[in-house]
Amino acid sequence: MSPTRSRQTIRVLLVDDHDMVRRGLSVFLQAFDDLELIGEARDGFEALSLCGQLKPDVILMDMVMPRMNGVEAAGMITKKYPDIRIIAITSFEDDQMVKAALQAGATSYLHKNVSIDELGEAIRKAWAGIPTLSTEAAQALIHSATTPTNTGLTNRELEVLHLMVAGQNNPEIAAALGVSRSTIKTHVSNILAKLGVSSRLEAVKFALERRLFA
Amino acid sequence: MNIPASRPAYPLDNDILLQGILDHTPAFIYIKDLQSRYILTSRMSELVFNIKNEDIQGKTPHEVLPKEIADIFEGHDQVVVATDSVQEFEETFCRPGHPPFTLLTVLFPLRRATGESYAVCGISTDITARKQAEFAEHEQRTLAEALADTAATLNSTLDINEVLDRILTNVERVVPHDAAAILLVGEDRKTAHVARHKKRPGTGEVQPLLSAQIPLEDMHRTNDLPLWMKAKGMEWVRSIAGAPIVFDDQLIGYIYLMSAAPNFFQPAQIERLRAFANQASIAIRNARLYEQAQELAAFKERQRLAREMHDAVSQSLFSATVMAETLPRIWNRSPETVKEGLVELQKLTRGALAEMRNLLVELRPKALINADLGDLIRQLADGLAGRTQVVVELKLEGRRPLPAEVQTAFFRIAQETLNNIVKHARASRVLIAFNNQPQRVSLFIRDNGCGFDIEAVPPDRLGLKILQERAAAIGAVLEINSQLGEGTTLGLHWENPQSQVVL
Repeated sequence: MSPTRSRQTIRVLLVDDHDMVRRGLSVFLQAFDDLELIGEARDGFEALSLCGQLKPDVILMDMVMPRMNGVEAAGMITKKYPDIRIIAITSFEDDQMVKAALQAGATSYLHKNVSIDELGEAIRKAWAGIPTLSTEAAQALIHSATTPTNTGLTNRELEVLHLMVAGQNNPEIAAALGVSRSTIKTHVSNILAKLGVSSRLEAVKFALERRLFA
Repeated sequence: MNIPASRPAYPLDNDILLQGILDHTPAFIYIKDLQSRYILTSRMSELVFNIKNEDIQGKTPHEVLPKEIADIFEGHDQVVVATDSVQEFEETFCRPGHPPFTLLTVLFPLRRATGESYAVCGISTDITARKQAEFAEHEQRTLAEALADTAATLNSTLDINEVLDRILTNVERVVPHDAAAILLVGEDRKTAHVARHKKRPGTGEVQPLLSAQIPLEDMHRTNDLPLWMKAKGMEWVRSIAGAPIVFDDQLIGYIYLMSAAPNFFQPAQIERLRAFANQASIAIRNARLYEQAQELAAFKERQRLAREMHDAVSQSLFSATVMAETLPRIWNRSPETVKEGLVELQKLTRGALAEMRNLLVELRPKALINADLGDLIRQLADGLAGRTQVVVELKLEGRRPLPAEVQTAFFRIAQETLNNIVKHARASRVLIAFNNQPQRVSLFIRDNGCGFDIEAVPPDRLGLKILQERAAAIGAVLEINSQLGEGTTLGLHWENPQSQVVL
């Protein structure tokens, strides 16, 4: 299909649940003669149905959206329309999401601090099949590849912490894992020490903040 | 064996016969003259009082028995002599250093043929074992009832103080004492303080303990009086009983009972106290789990809100940046777009600023109480206008401080309603009217969005139930009207009870 890729304008579909972001990006597309806005969608569902009608070249898509999020939508769109290139663009710093989006078939991953020239260039490159990663996304990938949990917790300690997050107390955790209460006590104090916190509640907060079990 | 109808032919010595019967009966039988001197006693006296028969005869109880016992015996003798009739007594004897024992005694006068009484006869059965069994059964029942009552309280309330007070009341039924206190170990794990206390009316004070920070190592000393019990004003305490409250193998407190009598508490009573300490542990555990769950829920909620708002601000600023970068480049090409863009840019930045302030309100709840409610609602409206294409019309009237809970409820209801509009309504216009008058405060929010079928939406969806609860909590009236395709209106009205009192 490469001959069609030599066409002059790149047809772009915007997908974002924030009205203002779509508004800003639609203005941005007017600044470049080779980029053309062909439609807007406010969630993954709308994007999926518009793809059939409009056949965009590139989709600029937010990741966190109601009804169907960007990762799910990317997976379905690339499966059904392999020629459509997807650029994920988000304001979230989330290691897991970068990986998930790329695995779902997104070509590029950008953060919402990108300049309009970088964004224009990323759209052209994506159209040609060349990925672009924002610095944050690249760091996130390296980070998630090198330090899986970054907490130093053993698998067993992670299990215990998970149950603590679920609101269980020591006897309940001991029963759930089939070990003695004193074993759990040791695990809990090791967890507190490794996370550098002084109470169970803080450990749970830590786990929630880092989204260890999200 | 057949007993012959007639007297046997061989002679009987009455005294020997009597002594023989007395010596082989399991009861303690005695005959005293009217001056309470023992004339005849069965051998049981040796077993009961450890005195030989021959040492008793001719003596009064006061001459051969300890005073506490003799007083009871002679007292009862006098009743029989005075009334000249048969009497039954339960005689319980408590002497320091001896186990208590109880006799069931029948006392009756012995009469001559003329009818006048010349002596008193007593037949006593030792019912100590039966009494002990009854007493133990009663104590067990009281303990079981007291524990069951506490357990019921445990299940019916999460108010820790209510449960601890109930524990103290129930301990009183089972282990008598003059005053009681429940101490809890502080966060520092080095000292404890009195969490709840109770005392019998008319007994010594516990006031001096209430403000005390008690060192942990001193708490365990229950054999002799711990130092903190010797505080000024606590001199009346002569003995204490204590049971540790343990939770997850960690000492979290103590129940103490105090008495003005020395050596007052028995080991069995301390054992019972432990049962209550265990219940206190469960109560404290429940309360702390509940608190933690509350705190955790609040923390999760704050985090969610902060994330949502941070997201909203980031989106607005990203859009503003993109526009600000783009507009100069299309200045000549499409001046109309540039003009519109500049208006939107202004709306975006103002919206972002409002969202930042809203975020601050979330992170610092005091800001929510101290600010004027009208200003807060303007902030919410600006935030909405900044992050959506919705045209927001705002009417504010009246500025006056409101009770914190009223202010919070109005703000949260407005915030939740506007969030609902963004998420669900797909509206292009929203009207927000807020009127803050001395007698009446009202909020009115109307959108022209898709609306919903109120009958079809379960009350817990869309957070409608929470809105109603928030309104009900301050005694306000909340009305929501909506129809599919017709938009939604919300009215919230609060009458100021203060102003009605003035009228």
